[in-house]
Amino acid sequence: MRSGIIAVLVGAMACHPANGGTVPAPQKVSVHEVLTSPSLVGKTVEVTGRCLGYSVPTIAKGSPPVTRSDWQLEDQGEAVWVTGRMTDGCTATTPAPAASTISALVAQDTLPGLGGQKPVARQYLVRK
Amino acid sequence: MKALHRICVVAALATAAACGGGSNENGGGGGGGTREWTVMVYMAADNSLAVQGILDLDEMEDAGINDKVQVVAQAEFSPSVLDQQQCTAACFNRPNFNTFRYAITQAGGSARNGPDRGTVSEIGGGSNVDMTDPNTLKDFINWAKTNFPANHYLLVLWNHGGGYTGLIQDETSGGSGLMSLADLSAGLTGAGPIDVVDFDMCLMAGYETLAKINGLVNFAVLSEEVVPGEGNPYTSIIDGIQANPAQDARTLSGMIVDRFNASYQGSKASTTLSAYDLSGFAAFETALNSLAADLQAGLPGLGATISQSAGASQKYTIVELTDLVNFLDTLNTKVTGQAALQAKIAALRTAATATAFRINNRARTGVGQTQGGDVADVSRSTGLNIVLPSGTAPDILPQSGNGSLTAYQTLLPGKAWTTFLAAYAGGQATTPVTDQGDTRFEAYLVWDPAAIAQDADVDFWMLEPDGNIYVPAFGSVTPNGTMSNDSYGDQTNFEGYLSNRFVEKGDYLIFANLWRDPANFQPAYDLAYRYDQTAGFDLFFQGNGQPNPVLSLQTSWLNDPTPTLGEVIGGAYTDLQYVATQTFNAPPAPLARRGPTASTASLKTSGKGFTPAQIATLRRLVTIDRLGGAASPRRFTGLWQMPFTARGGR
Repeated sequence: MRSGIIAVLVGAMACHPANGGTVPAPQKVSVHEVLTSPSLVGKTVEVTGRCLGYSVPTIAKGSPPVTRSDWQLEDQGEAVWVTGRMTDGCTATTPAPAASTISALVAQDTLPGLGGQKPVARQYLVRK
Repeated sequence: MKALHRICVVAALATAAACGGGSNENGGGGGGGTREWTVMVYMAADNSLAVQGILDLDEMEDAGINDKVQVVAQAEFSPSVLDQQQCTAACFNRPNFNTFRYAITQAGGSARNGPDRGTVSEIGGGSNVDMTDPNTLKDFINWAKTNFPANHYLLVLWNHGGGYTGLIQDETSGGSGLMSLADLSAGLTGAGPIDVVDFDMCLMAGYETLAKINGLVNFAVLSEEVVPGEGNPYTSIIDGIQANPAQDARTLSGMIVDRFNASYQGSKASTTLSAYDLSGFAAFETALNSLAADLQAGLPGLGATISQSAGASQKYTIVELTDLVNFLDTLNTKVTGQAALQAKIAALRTAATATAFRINNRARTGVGQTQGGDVADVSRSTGLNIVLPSGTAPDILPQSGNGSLTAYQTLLPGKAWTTFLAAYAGGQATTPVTDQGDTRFEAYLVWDPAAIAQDADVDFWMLEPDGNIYVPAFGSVTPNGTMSNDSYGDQTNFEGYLSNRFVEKGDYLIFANLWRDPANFQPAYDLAYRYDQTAGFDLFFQGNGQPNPVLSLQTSWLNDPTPTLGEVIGGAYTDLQYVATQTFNAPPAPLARRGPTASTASLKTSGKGFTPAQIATLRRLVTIDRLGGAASPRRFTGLWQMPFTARGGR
């Protein structure tokens, strides 16, 4: 617990080095941009979409990247995998009734090449 | 790691193995002699986990074959998920997406993705069956036992798991719903003895799971938290069985836990896995029933204590799932003096951790989780969770659906825990909460650091809407937030509070208390606070152009036999001062300071605030602690050295 609080404080120091000022707001991006922009990897972003839960329908590409309980954030017919807690009103089997905005880190992994296909890189989100 | 290995194999063989082609479809068994173990894998991968399923089949093949151990599977994979990767069924070496049964009968390891080291047969005349149907599960078990008889059977249930809300999803044939635990019981009923069932899925290590499979299987391997996508390390586990085919079910169950845990050492993902001997379940449940009856009898008075204990205990991705033993340990500290209740707690703890029941338990918190994401701390996991919401959102039971109280009552009717849960959770008033989103209110009392050398002890007090006062020196978790460590113990000049994302609506009153000041140092203080964890802190007094207040023991609340909240807020005492109020509506209102109020709410509020006994204890402790000499008072008018950078104004 102590280390957690200290970490928070240290984090505040790191983000706020001198005499006030504010940290730039996270970049607002779309699900499509997350999926198609490897340059976002490592950046914290705000993304708006609707939580679809685990699998039905499955729109996001490939396997859930981190745990079997990763979920999909959908927008404009595209979806990105998100690891972390689901948005309000969303469960494993029940999509959220409406879109919401999450703050997340853009990460990348590699989809295995099945049946002799080439492995491909994929972006996903780590919800903060 | 396993996926990378798979990629290498595939790449090496890419020129030799085109997508597509057929396997033998003869069905029937392979190997000879009397088998010790048949591993029956029920792979429901017609969902988001399709790719992982294919890779896991390959891992099973990589273990090779053994005449004492047989591995068979029933599997299907999602066409839509594989289509996302421009894959047809040929990508996993099948001509279609029909459900198939597969027996690994050939050595050599996986040469291509999908079944390629044994016999494959379709079922149901060539169709895609509903893997969430209990009859489908039962048919598979019967098929495996008939065609691949052995002395012992390990059943692996492979897919999604959602604890008491259900398991196994079949996108094509079953829709979005999960197989219920009741249906799991139905699927196992009449399937004959099963030595071990291994849940290769998330969140199934719950009392509810064991209650529904008790009498149907002998041993169970399950996870309290979500599991990584890779799931079981199949090659390692099957190697472990093949290396010692004569091992009994108990040994094998413990081995799976150890090999699973070992395979994730150094992994970014947190993991939990435990194994239970169901022959110990009856004794465990007897102890649980006894405690549940006492807890229920103690309601409603005991409700807040249970709620706080649940909220402070190890939780999981489905937040109402609470580690049972960790809850017992937490509760035990809050019911001191209640000997009968503590005896029940101790009895249940003993039963839950008895080696006759819990065979093995491994929990490891991931390292360097996901490039900056929060790691799931599972360090307080003891093997088994139970449905026990704290009652503070989001840790509440859903109003409807398979996670609701009604569903729970349907799932486990007549159980003592069900009866207790209905009285406890059903009786929980719906607490209005506000969602702060990803930015939360956070406040720290900060004071002159020279106070440390003078042995002065300043405390941050928080009066939450439930009427209780919370102090870091007395605990780290409140219903709506987390306290820092006690500053006196850590020799720091700050202590405070980070609120939860979901907080109860209402007023949160912050107080500054001077616990001891033997040198009469009289520390000045301020309140550092923020609403965004990526931003700097504001100073409440200096930021508003006000002088820093000073604490002293000159007029102590301890000398007032009947201190009231109104007197504290009105400034009646110099050692207990009102600082500010944070009101949570939606969204939170800015931090404000109230003027003197007419409130006469007593700090001794019955039931919620400090009890008379606690007040007496506080008085006694403070009186003893304050023994010390006087020194000249000191004043600091400027901004002292802060433990963190602060913004100067608002």
